[in-house]
Amino acid sequence: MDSREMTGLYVHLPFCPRRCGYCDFAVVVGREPEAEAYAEALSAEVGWLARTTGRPRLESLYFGGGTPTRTPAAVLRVLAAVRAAFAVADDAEVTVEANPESATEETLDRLRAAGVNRLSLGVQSFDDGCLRRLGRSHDAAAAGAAVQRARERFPEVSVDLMFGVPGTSAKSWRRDLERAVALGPDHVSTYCLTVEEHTPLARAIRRGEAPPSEDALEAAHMALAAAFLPACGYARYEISNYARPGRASRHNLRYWRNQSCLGAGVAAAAFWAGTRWTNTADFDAYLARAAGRPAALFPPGPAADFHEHLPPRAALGESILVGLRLLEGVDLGALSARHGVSAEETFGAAIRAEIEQGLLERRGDRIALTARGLRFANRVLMAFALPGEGVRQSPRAS
Amino acid sequence: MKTRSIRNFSIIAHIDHGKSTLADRLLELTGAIDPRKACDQVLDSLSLERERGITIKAKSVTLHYHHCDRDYVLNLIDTPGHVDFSYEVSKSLQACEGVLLLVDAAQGVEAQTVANAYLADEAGLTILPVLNKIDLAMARPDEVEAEIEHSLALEREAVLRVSAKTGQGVPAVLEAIVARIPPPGGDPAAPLRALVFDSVFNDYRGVVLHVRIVDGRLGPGERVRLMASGREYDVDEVGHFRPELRKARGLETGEVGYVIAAIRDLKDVRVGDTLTTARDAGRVAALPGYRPPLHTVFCGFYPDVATDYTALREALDRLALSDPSFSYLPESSDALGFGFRCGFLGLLHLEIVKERLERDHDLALVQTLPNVSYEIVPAAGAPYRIDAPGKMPDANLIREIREPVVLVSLIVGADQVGGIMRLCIERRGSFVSQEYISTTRVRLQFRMPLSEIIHDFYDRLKSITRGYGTMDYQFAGFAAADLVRLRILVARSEIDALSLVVHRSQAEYRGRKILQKLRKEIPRHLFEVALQAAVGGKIIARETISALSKDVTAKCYGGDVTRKRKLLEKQKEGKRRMRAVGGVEIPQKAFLAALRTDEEN
Repeated sequence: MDSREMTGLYVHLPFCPRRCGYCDFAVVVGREPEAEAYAEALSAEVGWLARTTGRPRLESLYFGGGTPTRTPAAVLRVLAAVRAAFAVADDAEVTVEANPESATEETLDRLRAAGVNRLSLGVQSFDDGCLRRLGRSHDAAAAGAAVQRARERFPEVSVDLMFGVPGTSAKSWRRDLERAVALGPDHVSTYCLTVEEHTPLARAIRRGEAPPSEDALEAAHMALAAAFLPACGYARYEISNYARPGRASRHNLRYWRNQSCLGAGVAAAAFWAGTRWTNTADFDAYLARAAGRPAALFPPGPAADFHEHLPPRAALGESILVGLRLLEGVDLGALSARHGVSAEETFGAAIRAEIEQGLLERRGDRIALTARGLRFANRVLMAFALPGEGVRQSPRAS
Repeated sequence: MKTRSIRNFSIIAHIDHGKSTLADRLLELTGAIDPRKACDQVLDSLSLERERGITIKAKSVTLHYHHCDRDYVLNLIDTPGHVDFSYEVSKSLQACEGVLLLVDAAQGVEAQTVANAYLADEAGLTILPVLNKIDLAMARPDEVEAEIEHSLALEREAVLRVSAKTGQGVPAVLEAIVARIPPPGGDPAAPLRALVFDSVFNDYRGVVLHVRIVDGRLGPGERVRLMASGREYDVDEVGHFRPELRKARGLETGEVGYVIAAIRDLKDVRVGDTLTTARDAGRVAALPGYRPPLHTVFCGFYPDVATDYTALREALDRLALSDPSFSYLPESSDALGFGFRCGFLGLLHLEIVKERLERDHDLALVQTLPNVSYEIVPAAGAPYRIDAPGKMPDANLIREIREPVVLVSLIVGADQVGGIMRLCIERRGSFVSQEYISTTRVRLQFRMPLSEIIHDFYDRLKSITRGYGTMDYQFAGFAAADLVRLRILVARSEIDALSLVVHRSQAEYRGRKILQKLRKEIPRHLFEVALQAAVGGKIIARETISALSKDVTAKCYGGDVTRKRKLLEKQKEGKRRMRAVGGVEIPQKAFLAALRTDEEN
């Protein structure tokens, strides 16, 4: 039995055929010719991460994007580098995000052969009108076929769906859920369309060209998913995530349990030894810096633009506010011990106030959001933010 | 220095007619400042004044002028240029024998030109009309001379033509000051009488009095008494404004200068007071007092953060020293906590005080809607005044409510008369007179409630006249009106800071407007929030903020944690700054939006 520390690794592949109107992720368009150079830089960063962290054992590996399946060779190249640099657990969860149009049989075969065992498909909807409004290039038929292809090849398949899209109705959303369930994935993520600042969608809404979001509609659709999916065998385990028994995303659970997780690539975030850092979101800057030496002692890594290390009270608050996203909630005793601060002393009064409001409930040593609390999570989580107690962010001069 | 070699004068002008620039040229020509080192507009020393291009505080400078083999001392007493500050103008004028009435050769005679000329005339001063900006392509000096002759009854021949910018014609102004403004009178042998026409607080010197010696002389070491307050001080230093303070052995009859006498208590200095020597105090009569400041506009100032209350009080104390023309008394509001009710000379004065508090004293303030004072005639008892809408008693206890009325003078283009008439009548004005000051420009007078003027009237005037119309007003007493107290309720709790007194006919419109603004700015709650406007017990307008259905972030993965945590910190911080009324959290900006006078329509 290997006694080395367990962790996860996220690898970001930013290439996309175009930017979707609602997207504010770090993506690049038309830079595929540089995919090889990028894979090279990623491999260098991965190697560096492994060396500096003492080659921890990876229990999860996640290729996100962007559209990783757009540059499968890069994924394979980095996967090889990861295996060379880290000890990857035999039963590690290895996920790749895919879009229906780029999830070709050939690509999926190559990924599976390289040891990828979980495919997360960005389906969004099975409604052609909705897909068009979202600016996605695939149609409902292609989405269905891609899920089929994935199911035939991978032990675990997850489907991303989006609700709250203007022009949709409870009826169309229910049809989406039914179609998804009928295809038999292991895991379903249901994300409410979020209007992020500085996106084409936000501008369109400001100009009156797109309808603004309606929280009543969103709440109804969220409630619909929360009733429908569990009835079909998918338990809700996080605000937006549902899974068959034992099929929750191990990688994402690390985030919500505020456990360490490394990150490589443009805009990738990492959390190691209490320090959190984020790489530059600039593709060119990343290429230039990833292979270089870090400017300061580790952590953070060479391409980091930001890092912080929270003092105990703020760190405890952060653990609670990410942990409450899980329906299992958080174990206050365990978190108090982990951060060396009493949760009762720091947040006891706030917790009681939220319980009073019917937004939180206590289950022994754990606290968790109530059904109503899940709808108003931001109101509850605010109680665990400590303005002024975090360390000021330290952007590093590039 | 012989009294007959002294000339005390002010420059009076409408805003932007070039007063400060002319003052700079006079300073340069007489060597008071070096033109190469001069930073523009020396007398506008406060940053706020420079930014707004207006002079707020009267300041003075002594100029040495050599002409026809004789030395003259010219004391230029700077005056504020805005309608709100006619009080300060009157203070300065009391210390002068003459004025330069500056008129822009392109803009022509404006409402404040007329008002200031009348003030100078009433004070018995010699008026030298000066036409400025004659170098401008748009200048129309002949027409404007005709306007001066028509509207101010001044001789055309007396008009001096200058360009303060280029300096053209400015030497002739100096000659005219000497030739046409009489030297000060006064008796050098009589006991000291000096007029305190301004006071400034200096961090190192304490209170600096600006005085005009009317009779006698004053030197350091003298024990003096301020006649109104009765306080006595030993004079440490006297001197002249060059424009910095320059120490002198004494101030003689007719001279203008400063006095430093270790005065620390702000409240002992009353501008308009008479300074005399302690030994003569019983024998001399005080100089005729200044017109006391008339507070026409009131509002509440509250600290943004409750803990700043003490800082606000200290800032007000300090500001009151350099600007004795505003008043402040503690008050408290359910919605805004502890603050002060302040009285001002006008709306601009209010804005200036607010900006000084915020800028010079680094305070964040919440300001309530400006209001006028009202005279309440109760069903039983003597009439009394209230300075806040919240103090209005129940309607059944009132026999009559009277509001301040002003006589408004407007100078507008002849083609704009119709629009201005409509505006004034819509604002409950009644027509008084109309007079052509030239073929294209008209002077209109209306009697109007003051409350209608403090409520975005000036902006409307400017928009109707494409920026060219000007106005001035003077207080014309109190008159009965059909006024009601409009109450604003959030979740059925009254927001005292938002209640206001309005004419009955406008109550519904104003109430609806405020509710609409609140609806936009109050965030949705987990429950429905009712917004209501009421007169007495009757609800006259209603808006509803629907309950929030959800507030939850869809995604929170590795890269989102920090951002999410910071966002929550920011929201929590914002929440702390909100005021909770009836369980509803109201952000500051909702108050500010509701309190802002209508910018639309």
